[in-house]
Amino acid sequence: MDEDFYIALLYKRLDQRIEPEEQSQLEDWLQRSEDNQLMADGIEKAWQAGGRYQKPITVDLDAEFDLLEQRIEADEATKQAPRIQSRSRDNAQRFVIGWRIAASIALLVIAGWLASQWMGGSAVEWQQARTTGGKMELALEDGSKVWLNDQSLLEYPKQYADSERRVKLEGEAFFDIAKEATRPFIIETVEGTVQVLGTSFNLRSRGKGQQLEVEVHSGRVQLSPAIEGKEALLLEAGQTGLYDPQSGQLERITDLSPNAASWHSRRLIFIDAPLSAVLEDISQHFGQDIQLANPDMANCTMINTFEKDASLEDVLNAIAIVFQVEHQINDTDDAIVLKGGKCR
Amino acid sequence: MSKSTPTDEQLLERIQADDKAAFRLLFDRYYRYLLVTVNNVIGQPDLAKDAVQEVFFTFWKKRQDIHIKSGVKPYLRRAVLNRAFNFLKSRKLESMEGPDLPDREDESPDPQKQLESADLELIIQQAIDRLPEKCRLIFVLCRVEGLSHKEIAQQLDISTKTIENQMTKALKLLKEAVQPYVSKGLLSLILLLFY
Repeated sequence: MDEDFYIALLYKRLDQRIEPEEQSQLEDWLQRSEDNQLMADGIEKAWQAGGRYQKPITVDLDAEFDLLEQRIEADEATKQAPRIQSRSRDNAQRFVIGWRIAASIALLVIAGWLASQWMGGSAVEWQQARTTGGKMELALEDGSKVWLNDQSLLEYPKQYADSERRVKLEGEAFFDIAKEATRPFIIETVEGTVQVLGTSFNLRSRGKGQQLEVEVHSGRVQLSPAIEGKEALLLEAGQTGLYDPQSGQLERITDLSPNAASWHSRRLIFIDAPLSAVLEDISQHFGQDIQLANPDMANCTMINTFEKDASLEDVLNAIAIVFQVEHQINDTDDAIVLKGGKCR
Repeated sequence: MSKSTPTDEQLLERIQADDKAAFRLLFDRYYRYLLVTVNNVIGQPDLAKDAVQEVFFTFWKKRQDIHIKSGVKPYLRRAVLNRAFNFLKSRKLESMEGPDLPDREDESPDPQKQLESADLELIIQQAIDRLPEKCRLIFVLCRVEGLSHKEIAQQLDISTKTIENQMTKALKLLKEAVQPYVSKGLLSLILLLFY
């Protein structure tokens, strides 16, 4: 007797599609032996329990919704500004050293222009904080804190307007902004403004025609280029926004280097970081051009954390031990050059 | 309906008025249900999550164009099932009409061990997961998701006869998984524990 034939009939019965003659055929078969009855029982149990089948899966509602929101916001921003791109920063592109010196010169040049732009016709009384040869910590009227990096200028009103808290920055600063739902905190730079919807971030304005960079550490930040009609980019914690006025490109970078604001945290962390990226972070942190003589070394990785008091000398010595490199100062441009060495 | 729990239709109306909070409520209401549905069908958690993300993303993006006749839940369910079918089509399940692949050679579960957990749901769940993929898929679509033979045939481009055969095969294999307990008179005991 063909077992499959009766299983098919049992299925039809369970699915309530069995014809009367099939029904009697099935009943005859069931009467025939206890085994048949047992098999029918088994099929029925399998049918019942199988109906409650659920493949296990973990659900994290909040994380999934966050992801969804990010996609929606990115999509809406893209719709408004078609040139936004999303990409990862590659090491070759990151290996740019010495911008800080160039930027500070550029800032001096544009300072006069800024003064005329910002001061003209304004009834607000402005205060200035300027750093030359050091960093400065500022407490603003609303409880916000600003750490101003060297060679930077922050202008802020003695008293904010009712509708907004507006300040102006040249150079680089880390902002920890007090939350005020009704008064957005707005930072003007020459190439664009940053409107804060949340809390802390690092802002680097290199000057007129130079790249503007915002690294968001917590909360949300809106970056708006200083060009009419150019739409804003909404950034989330862990994201960096880059605006290049030369090309007009507004970019979102999603992998924030742990050392992006090392000058503020005064700690350098490297976890399996390629040497090229390590040197870039160190260069930025100490404001010292460091070059690698042997390009084969660029992808050697290291794990290390340098705490607050580490000097450039300490850091270079640590690297020298790890990779067996020697460092010497280049006479022509004062850059430190690392020579020789091998990956571990 | 109390004020604190808006109906799906009220939520839809608010969503169409760009209310993100209403969107979040709808998301919370149906995310799990939709994820389980699509994961049951395609059986790959990451792809299932992507599919549900897509559905909600599109739902928000096209919110102004959405016209729902039969209810928000069936609409969303239909949307994720369509995604699942698109995925299955793109994967070109080895010719549905062709011969079955050999059954997976997973080591058979030790009935005694399974019994210790005394969980019939789990036994069946594992047995379903061990079915040949084509067989599992058709069982889930028919029995778990309750789709008609006609629709499954259309979506997977197979005959209703194939579906009938695959269901028979599935029930036979699943019966074998529960049979040890039936023949030893244990299933009734297990069932007592669970019903």
